[in-house]
Amino acid sequence: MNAQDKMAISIRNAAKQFGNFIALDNVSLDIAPNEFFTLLGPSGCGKTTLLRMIAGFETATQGEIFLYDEEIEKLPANRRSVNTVFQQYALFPHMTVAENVAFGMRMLKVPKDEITKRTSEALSMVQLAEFSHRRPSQLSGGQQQRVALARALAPKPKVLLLDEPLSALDLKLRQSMRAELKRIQRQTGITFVFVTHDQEEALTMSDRIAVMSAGKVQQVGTAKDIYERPNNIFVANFIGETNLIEVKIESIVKSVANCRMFDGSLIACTADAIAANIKTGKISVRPERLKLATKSSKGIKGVVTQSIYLGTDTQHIVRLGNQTELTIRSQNGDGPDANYEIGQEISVVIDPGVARLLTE
Amino acid sequence: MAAHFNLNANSSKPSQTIAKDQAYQLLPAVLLICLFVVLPLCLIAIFSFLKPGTYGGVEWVFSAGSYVQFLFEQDFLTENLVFSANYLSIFFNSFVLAITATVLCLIIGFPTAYFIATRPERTRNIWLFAITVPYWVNLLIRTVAMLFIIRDQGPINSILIATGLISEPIRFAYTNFAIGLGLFYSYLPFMVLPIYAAIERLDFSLVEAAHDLYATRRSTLWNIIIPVVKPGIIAGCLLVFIPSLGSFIAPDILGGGKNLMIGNLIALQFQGSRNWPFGAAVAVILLTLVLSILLFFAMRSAKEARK
Repeated sequence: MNAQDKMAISIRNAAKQFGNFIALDNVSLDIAPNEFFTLLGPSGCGKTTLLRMIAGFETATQGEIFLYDEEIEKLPANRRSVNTVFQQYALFPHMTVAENVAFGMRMLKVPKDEITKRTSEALSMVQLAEFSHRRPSQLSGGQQQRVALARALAPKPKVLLLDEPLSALDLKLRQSMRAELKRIQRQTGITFVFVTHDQEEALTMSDRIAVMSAGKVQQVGTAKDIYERPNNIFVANFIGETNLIEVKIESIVKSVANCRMFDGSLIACTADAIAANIKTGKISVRPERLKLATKSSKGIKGVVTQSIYLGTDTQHIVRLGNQTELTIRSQNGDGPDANYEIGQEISVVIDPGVARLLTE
Repeated sequence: MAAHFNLNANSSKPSQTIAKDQAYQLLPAVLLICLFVVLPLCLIAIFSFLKPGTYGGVEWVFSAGSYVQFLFEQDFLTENLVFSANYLSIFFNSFVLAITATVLCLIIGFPTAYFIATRPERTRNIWLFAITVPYWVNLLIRTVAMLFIIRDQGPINSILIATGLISEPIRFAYTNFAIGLGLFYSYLPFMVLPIYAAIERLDFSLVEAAHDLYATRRSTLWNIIIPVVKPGIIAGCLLVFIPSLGSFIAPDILGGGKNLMIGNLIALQFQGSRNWPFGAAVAVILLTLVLSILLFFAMRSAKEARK
């Protein structure tokens, strides 16, 4: 991203307080044009508040929001060129599907024949052309979802906001809608800002993800960045599974930390997310990056407490000497099965460069 | 019929058969209705086709004279029937007053209901309670009190004269205006409550969605809120219009007895004029009109539900 490029959405030091509760704490974000950007976090992290502030349903306690360099924080919702797909769809029950889709354009006073044309375009994009004369109540949840999408896209907003749009659908539908949303985003070239608490949704669809917690943005990056180089323990834990082991920091040189484990052994780990003066932290290693070896091999000693066959993988849980439990997942392949029995004493091997030093 | 005026906009209308043991639960209500609604209605209908007795009551002789009397007058000299709009004009006047009261109630009641429905949940009940407080006082007393307020020597005129705005008192009392005001005040809660119930159930994300789709506040009101809460508005209007039309106390007291409404006309026939069949005929005509109006709305809402 070039610094001179106009951002689709630029949020500067936005904060929101409800009484004593701080919903958003000094958030700054840049969302590029044509990006599928996801706000990901547990419920109550402020992601929906942020989305509603962009839409114009909430006013910021402080801060500014820019839409293509135009300051929109003070504008009412009906004068912002952004549209929202609501979690519960919010379709107008007294209007037909076509009337719902046409509503935004009607309010913008688009000429009649163009409304008709763009309504049928939007409906065929979501594959609902033949349902245009139905009422929302005569459609299934998935169909209503697609009407909501068509309604929000038809006025050609600069940015489309999606507030957990898939959470009310069942799993199968959710998975097919993911692909469809991604296709529509590419087809229309509209910037999507997507709110979800479902990390799988975020990882599969997004160009970039902002992980949020407690009103703050914890990390912004691509799915790969966030999974492989989490900034802190919250992100490492929230995205995927991870193993955390407490360590003492001996030295940090050029983003590589030398850490001492509970059993006295030293381990080198990446430490680009760490302040220099910190003395203790935790190393994070993904379950698929850990390896099991026989007791005599070099590594951290432990005992297998569980062994679960998962089809493609086998998952072992190993208790270390300090009672920390580690999850290790190894792929089942053609080679000799890495199958260890419960109660067996083994070594856990952490390859160099795999561990990442993190703090809270 | 009542089901079609159901306050719930999204209600489905399942046709359920009533089990036998449930029928017994209905029995007392059905008996009461038969005894005190159906039977009197039948009597009224029968009376309207009889001849008046000399000192009130009826003579059991068939006659359509009462219905003829409603539209025609017998000329004193020639004994010919001449068309007379006297009673029709009372009906017309009543409709105008009832419509005025309904419109006033709607204009005042809708914003009130909207205000209450958008309060936080714990203060809503206090507001609703406040709406009902004046209705703890008997209707007659409230109506007389209103007369005292608007009469020539009442506080409104006194204040206006004292401030020098007017020199002569404005005639409010004993006018159609006074009756309209009285009807409006008597039936306002019947407008507020059903509209409140409809707005309270309104999904406010629809309002947000409308704003999001570039609708101003005004066009959100006309395009989204009013159509969605329409069943509540219709229910409120009927609940105000129908009792207003047959109202008796407000025109009697605030109209000073000279601006008759249908209710007074009927009362007069059973009391002063002792012409029971004519009173019954007027009642039947009123009932027919009201039922036609109800039927019209019922059919329309049924048609809309089918769409």
